[in-house]
Amino acid sequence: MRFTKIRTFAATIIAFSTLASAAHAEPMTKEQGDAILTELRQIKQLLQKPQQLAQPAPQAPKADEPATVSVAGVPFLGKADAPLTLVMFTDYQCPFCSRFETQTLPEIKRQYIDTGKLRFVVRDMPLPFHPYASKAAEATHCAEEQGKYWELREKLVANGDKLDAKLLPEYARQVGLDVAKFSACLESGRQAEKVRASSSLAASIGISGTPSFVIGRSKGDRVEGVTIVGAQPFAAFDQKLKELLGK
Amino acid sequence: MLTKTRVVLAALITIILATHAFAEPIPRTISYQGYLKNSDGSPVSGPKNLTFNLYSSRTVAPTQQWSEPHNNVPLTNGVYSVLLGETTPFSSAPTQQYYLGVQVDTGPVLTPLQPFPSVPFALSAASVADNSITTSSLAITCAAGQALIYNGANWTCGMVCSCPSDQQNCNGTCANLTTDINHCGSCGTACPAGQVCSGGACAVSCQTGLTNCNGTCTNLATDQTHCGSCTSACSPGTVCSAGVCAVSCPSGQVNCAGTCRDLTSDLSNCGTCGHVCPAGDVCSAGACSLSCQAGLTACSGTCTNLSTDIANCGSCAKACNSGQVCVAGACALTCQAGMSVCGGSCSNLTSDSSNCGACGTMCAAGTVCSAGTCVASCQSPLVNCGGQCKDVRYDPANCGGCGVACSAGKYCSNASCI
Repeated sequence: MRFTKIRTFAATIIAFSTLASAAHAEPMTKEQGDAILTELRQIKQLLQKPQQLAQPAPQAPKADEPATVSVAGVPFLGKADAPLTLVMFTDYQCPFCSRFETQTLPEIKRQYIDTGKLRFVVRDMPLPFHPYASKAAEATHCAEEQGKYWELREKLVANGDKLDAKLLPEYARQVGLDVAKFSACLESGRQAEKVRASSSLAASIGISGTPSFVIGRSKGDRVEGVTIVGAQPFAAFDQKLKELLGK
Repeated sequence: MLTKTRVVLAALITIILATHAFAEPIPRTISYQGYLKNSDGSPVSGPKNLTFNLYSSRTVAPTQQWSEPHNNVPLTNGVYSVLLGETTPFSSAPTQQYYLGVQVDTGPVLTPLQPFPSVPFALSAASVADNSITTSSLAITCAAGQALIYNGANWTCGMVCSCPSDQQNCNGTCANLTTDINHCGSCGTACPAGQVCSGGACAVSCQTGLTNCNGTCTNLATDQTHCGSCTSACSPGTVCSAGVCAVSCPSGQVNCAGTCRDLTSDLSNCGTCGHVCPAGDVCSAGACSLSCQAGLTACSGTCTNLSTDIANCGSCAKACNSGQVCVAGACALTCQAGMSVCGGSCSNLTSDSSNCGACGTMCAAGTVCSAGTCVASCQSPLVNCGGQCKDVRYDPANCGGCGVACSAGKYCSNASCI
């Protein structure tokens, strides 16, 4: 409303200036020209001001947004050629991620992954306010180097409230990793870029919280689908998967 | 050696509650800090072997209810910090009053034993009744299928971990797009060198009432990491209130993620922490509405009492100077949070023996003012400092001990000036 009023005001001034000049039919002096320009600049500033003062609204997590993500080179559960793929963006310190994995994923696995219909992929999205999440994500990729990605991440999910970096080697030992190699990997930070890239991927498709998902049809190393936000119950995934399977 | 050592009960006990909003296994450890000093008042140097014992009565008994040794505990100016239950887990939540005794090296248990106060009973929170924290108890309405979650700052609805409601996840950083010079107005939009981000736009200076702290426009009166000055951060457990780190918020305000907020008028915390009013609305009497209730004035979208608001004293945007308050629409000198004006000077009515509980109420000789009442001795963990009960954990004038004052610009945290 205020913006409209200012626009009207500006138009009035411009019209008035034009009419006044025309009525007297006198040449405009440089001073008059400068004065009009100064006034126009002030009007321009007024027009811009409401936009500057407007505070960006908090971005709500988006669901059911079309999304395509690559899963090339990423470990997966299920058949490589499963017609559907579910990609989870996760943070190992997020209790809702743990909630999904303990309460919802087992049923998805039983009905869809183990039956060859669905491929399950995990991507990292450590959140800024979870101090151990990033290193925990790196740890899973250090375990991946030794072929025990899923074993370690299962351990981390089960210990989501105890992920201090000093505890990670012990978890590595418990799942049978070569702890020395694991620790060397973790300290080198060589897996950090993989984690950052995964977070960037999430941001690029508008995902801002965890757990978030992309669920859709497998297209080789890609999945084309839509987003699901939050630790939704099994029924929400079940409905979407049935839709995709055409049931 | 032990006879030269005594424990000044500056024990801060906190349950280490993780940020889990739901009934997940909670940590079974209790953070405990204490202060050891010699009989001459000097802090004990470490490390020391400490053994912590729990008894069922105030006297040292041959058998303890629980005991846990902590070897080579570092001491910083006599202050130590341990996690009780780390190696010898508590078998269950406390069901009665227990008393804690500390042994230093191989010496006797130091007395008097300290009551294990009510906070450890929060271990019972592991069995908190279902639905005792609800959308209705927090006055938040969640959509179907959503649950209440705590995102590190606010209670919100959802099933997802994300940045606080006034921030956005900018590629791994929770950023306030209204003030962040690296994400000004939108993620990745950095302001040119020398400029600040004010109201979501790069500008040469901050809006009225805000201060340029290393490029970020900051409210020094309420900002947890820039409290009173750009370089002063409040320690965990305290909040920034009127530019001073305080244990709790002043009357009428609520601690929202470490910042004192007036839920009756705060656009971003209207009625409850984190409840943001829609654009164009004002927050009036704790509810988002189109106009302010009688007696309040809308100042930049916030319903404001021009009679008392230091940022809008008498009229919108007319801010009082630091150290002043707004009284009847005029700026006046006043006391910091928690202090009261008594006869022209600032007094802490909870501890001032000359103004105990109320201005002019003097405590009799031999008694001290504790929690606003004249008593024979100070309530734990307060310490009698010249007739006044002081919390040597946080009192900058008695930090770690009576008369130990922190230098200007420092504050007292866990009995140390930092």
